[in-house]
Amino acid sequence: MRYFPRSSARRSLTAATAEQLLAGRGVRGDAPTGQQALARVLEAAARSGSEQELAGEVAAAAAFVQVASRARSRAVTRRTLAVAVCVVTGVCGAVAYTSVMSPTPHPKVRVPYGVPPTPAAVHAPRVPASPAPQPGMLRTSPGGQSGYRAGHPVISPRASPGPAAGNKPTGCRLPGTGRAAGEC
Amino acid sequence: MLRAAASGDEGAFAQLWRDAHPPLLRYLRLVAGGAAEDVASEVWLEVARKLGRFRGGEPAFRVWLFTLARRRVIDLRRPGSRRAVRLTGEEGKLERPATDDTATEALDNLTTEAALALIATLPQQQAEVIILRVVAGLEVAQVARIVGKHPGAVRAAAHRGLRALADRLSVQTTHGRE
Repeated sequence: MRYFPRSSARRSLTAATAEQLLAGRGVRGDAPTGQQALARVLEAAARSGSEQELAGEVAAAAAFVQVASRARSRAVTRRTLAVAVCVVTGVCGAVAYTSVMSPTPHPKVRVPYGVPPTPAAVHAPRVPASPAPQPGMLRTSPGGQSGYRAGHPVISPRASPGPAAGNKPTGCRLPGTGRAAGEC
Repeated sequence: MLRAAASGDEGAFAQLWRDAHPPLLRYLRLVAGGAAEDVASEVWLEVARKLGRFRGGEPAFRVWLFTLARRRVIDLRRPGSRRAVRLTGEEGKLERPATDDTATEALDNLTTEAALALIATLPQQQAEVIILRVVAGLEVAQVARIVGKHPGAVRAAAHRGLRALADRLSVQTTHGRE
């Protein structure tokens, strides 16, 4: 009978031996019986799978096919959605950019503050050139002032109002030139 | 294989399942008890849903798989969960290997279930670390990432658990020879 078997086993099982056993390399032939028995236990625990353990292989493979195909279709759907979102976002962005940045058909004219915009210019009908106005003649203008000036003689701003205005001399006008002679 | 499975190849996924399901189930039997099969199914469904987005090699896949499983078990343990999860393995499987046979014979004919039941007698943390290292074939750093502990703590827990197992087995073999 062996005395203190536990103590002897404890003493001999070094860290190196333990690592050797854990790595599945077994022990030497002259190792204590406890270690040899331990090596057999660990070897039995690490044996390859039994038929009973591997019985569910077909079911596992079938479940894998089902789950994997579902996951793949979900991934495809997700990818398609992402692409669609990208395309829609891109199109919307492009439309918005174009609407903001494109030139308008009638360019805007900057108008100073307080000045009403001028109406669009319209070509006036061509009028035959009239002879240069002579002094004393009635001046007709094709513009809007023709109605006002019709029948009114053109007078110099400094010209005297005329004999009807008073007894002032009328010599302010140089005879024959139609020009004012200066100060009266 | 991972890339093919991620692209929807059923055969590649079946191969992946064949490699990873037995260790996953053994781990879940330890941490989820009777709900192990259901939790494993839920984990694989989650894997099927998220595999297309997974990036990494096979070691990273194993870490991911066991992390998903552990999170699901933690969810189940929460109060108000749909199912109550026992923290240890099934009672029948937790019995130690029969002692009426000789120890050598028992160890020679040791089944995977009996070995797992023996490991499950350890404290939860030690058993979990040993299962992840031995059964799932993960490194210390990977196990530390899964259980959310420092690698030193993981290593210490595994060594402590192995020492405890070695002590028990040493006693059994000694009694068997007598």
